[in-house]
Amino acid sequence: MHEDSSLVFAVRGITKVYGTGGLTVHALRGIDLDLYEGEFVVLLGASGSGKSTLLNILGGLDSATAGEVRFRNEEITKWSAAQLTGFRRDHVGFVFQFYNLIPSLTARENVALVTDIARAPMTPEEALRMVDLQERMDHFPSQLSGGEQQRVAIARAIAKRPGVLLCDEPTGALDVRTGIAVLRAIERINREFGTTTVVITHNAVIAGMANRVIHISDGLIQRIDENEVRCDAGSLKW
Amino acid sequence: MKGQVAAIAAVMSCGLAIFIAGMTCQGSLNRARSAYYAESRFAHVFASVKTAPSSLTGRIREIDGVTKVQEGIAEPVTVTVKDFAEPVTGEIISLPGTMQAMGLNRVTVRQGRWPIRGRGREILVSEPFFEAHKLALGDRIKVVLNGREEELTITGTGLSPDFIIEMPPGGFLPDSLRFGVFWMPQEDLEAAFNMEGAFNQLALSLGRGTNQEEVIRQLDDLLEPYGGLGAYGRENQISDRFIADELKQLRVMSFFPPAIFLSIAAYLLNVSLSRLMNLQRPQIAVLKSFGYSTWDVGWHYVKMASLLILLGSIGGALLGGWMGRVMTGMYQRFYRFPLSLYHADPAVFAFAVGLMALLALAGVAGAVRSAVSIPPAVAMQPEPPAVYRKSILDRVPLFRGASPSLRMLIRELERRPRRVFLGIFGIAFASSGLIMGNFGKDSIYYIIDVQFGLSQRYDAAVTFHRPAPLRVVHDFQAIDGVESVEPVRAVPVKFWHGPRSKQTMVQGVADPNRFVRLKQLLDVDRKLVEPPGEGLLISVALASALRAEVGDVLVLEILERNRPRREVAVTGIVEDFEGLSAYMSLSSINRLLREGPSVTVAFLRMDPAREKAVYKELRESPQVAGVSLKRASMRSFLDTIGENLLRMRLFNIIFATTIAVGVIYNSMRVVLSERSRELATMRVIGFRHGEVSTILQGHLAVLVLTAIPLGLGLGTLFCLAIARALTTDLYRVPFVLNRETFGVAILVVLAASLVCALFLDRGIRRLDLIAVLKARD
Ligand SMILES: Nc1ncnc2c1ncn2[C@@H]1O[C@H](COP(=O)(O)OP(=O)(O)OP(=O)(O)O)[C@@H](O)[C@H]1O
Ligand SMILES: [Mg+2]
Repeated sequence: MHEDSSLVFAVRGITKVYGTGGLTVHALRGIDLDLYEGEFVVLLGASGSGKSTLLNILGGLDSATAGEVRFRNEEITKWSAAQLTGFRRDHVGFVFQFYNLIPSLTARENVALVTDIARAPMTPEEALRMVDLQERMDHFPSQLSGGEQQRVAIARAIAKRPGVLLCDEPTGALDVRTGIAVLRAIERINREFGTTTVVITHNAVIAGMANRVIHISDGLIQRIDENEVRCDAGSLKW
Repeated sequence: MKGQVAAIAAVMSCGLAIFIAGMTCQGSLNRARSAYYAESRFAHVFASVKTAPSSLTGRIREIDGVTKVQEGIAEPVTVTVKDFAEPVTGEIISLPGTMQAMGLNRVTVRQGRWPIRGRGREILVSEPFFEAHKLALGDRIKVVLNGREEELTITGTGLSPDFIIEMPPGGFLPDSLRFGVFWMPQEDLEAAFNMEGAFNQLALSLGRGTNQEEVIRQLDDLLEPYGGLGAYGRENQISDRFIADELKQLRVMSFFPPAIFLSIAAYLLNVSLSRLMNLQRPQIAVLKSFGYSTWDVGWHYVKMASLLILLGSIGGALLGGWMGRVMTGMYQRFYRFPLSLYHADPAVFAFAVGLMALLALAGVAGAVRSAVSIPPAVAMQPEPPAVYRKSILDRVPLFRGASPSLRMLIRELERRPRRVFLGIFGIAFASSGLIMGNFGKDSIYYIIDVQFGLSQRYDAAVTFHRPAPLRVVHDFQAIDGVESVEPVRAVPVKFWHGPRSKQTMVQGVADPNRFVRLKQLLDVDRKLVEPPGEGLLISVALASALRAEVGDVLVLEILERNRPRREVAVTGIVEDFEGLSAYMSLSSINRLLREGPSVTVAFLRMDPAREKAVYKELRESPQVAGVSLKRASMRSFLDTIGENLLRMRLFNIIFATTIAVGVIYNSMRVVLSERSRELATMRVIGFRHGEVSTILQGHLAVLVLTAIPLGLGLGTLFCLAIARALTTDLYRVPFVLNRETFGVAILVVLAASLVCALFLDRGIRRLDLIAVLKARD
């Protein structure tokens, strides 16, 4: 249904085993998955099912025990730590549940941290405008609300115009209204830049925003649902 | 935590070890001295006289307060030992029939037996001399007694309380190869020197509360007609003075550096514990919400700190005990006691550990109090996000273009000024320790340079038994191999300046137009000082002891002959490192004494190829009491002092380096652990490992580069204070620091920083990115 040139990630037989000896945990037991350009994918699954593990392997933060991950036909599972750093730097934007901003830098400077080292970034001001924070650019994290901090984190993640945006429970620490504002920002980036977006959530409602919803259980993909119609973030209710 | 525990324990151990080593060494010497003085009945007052009849002792005994009188004979001698080619001198002293017969200054036989009179000239030899020459009991040495060379048989070795350190006359370092003390039965010595029924040495002991000054005055009056040379108390007895000075210096050295090291250790403990407690805030809160009291929780940390203190104390006690033994051993080469010397005084250990524990626990208590006093509800929340503000630097135009990482660095430093300040001081103190460690070397090499290089241009100093006519100089000049001779007339004197007085020697310097100057006088800037004309030149040490300056008029009393008194003006101050010394012209001394031109010392410059022949000639001259060679004294100086110095320096440098590493490592560990989250975040968003390292390296660089100049400054100040505190009548410790010393200190601190930077780098490599992301802010 998709052409090969639009294939971003090709995941084949990924397993992840934590620990050695008797106390091993099989976090992933053999995942096969293709992700395409411009796709918005939601990962759903119970706690401990292996969502974060998968996301971290896709983003080059963690290594798989076996199997291969190809990013635009390059086998990243074979890469060195330095190559993975380069991969994250040039292609991946991360957003986490806890915003992980640098407390000693203002919103603008947090974004500038990335734009200073990226290849073809937007300006920090542009990135902050994308998340509607142009008014608060010179504020420190301690002066921003949780939702605002998360939007700064998103601005920081997208300022480099990444090919993929990986979000691990981006709304996990937020109330509904702020959660929606954050999701709206993610959605906008996905639409405007065609950034392949993966969002982990515990909230099934959010799944309505996705092109595809991947259900993970006990380290395996249980099923993949395709949404005929994507609803926009503003219409979500939970 | 493991690295930090090791670092803190190491710094604590170092501080304790230095303290314990210094204190026990000092204590051991002190104890040995008192015990030995008591056991051997060391006298309180000493006097020399030309010759006085033994009957005089009856009248001396009647002086109020005198409890015991011991008279005897002591004469300078020249000695030939087996095939030792260089000139050897010594002092031979009379010995009663048994040790018990010695009322005062009892000689202890260490090996062999007491010499018996009339049995073919038997003697005791001082132990250091015996050992230095590897002599055996029964060996014979040749001694010139009253102009006749005689073979004497060694029956044993001895030590006595007035020769705990054996200083050759005029020398300022012991040299057991070239100077020895010998004891001979009284009758034999009397016969050899034709002094039957007479004495030239006197020792008195005084009852408690006796006015020593008064006794000395009366004694001087009694001895004057017989050529009394001025009585003096213990404080002017050469051996005791050296020990007293040494103890004073040791007290200074066992206080200064340890105080600094102990406070650094306490500071480290404090910072690390408060960091740990910040990390454990939630756990503390949980415990408290379960009903544990503040005290229970606090107690837990106090126990942890105590464990650390215990660890440091064990290390420090073992190291300190060992070092104390080594140091005491080093002193034992100079100071001879017939008792075992090292005493590991438990009180010192207890005091040191107690002080350390007190300092450290005070630091811990502060950290515990602030962590534990937070109410559980507040403490369970994660620590609120750190509040940062734009810094002053943000307003500086130059800073506007700064990279975010540079901003992070600067704002972090600005946020915790107190901690940054303390960290800088810790490193600065460690650097100052390195400066102090090398200070001894610098000042001693300076003395060698000035003393042996610039000032003493002669090869040998010849001393005479008694003042000799000036023409001996011409006799010496005629010896084949002697290139030039400079005569000196040395005479014991007492100076008064206002209420202050000091007893010492004055050296009469010959007319520079008639003799080549072989001993140059230099001022504090190492510039040549003109020889004294009519006036008086005094050493820096004497000037400060008398509070005298150029232009002041001193009263001078010569303690010989008719004891003339006169006023003299100070015309210059010289730097000679010989303690209390003074110089006048030879002719004015001769005039004062109403004697013809006569001399007591001659400095000789020789042709090195004909040295041996010159010694031989000198030895055969009946007037010569001793010859001291500059080269030999320099060698012995370097052998003894040099070796000790090297060892002390090694200790110091190892300690200062340990402390530098400890402080830097600990400060940076704390920074790394506090900032691990943001550093990991940077790694996640694509910063290379090296780029992240740079931020911490920048932090480290700021600390170290500020600390180094500060440390060099502090070190300089400490050395100045030490030089002041160490200076005594006998030694003036010059305040000299070489460029090399600063260079070494800088290099060591930089190397320590490099090591820490590598550790940090490894720490960053090991950051668990995923674990950090799971944790809350
Ligand atoms: N470092 C680790 N060591 C051992 N086991 C781990 C580690 N990290 C994760 N696991 C285990 O791997 C499994 C998958 O973890 P993962 O974090 O991927 O779950 P998740 O689906 O993201 O759960 P949640 O929704 O709670 O975040 C879990 O059972 C977890 O206990
Ligand atoms: Mg997860």
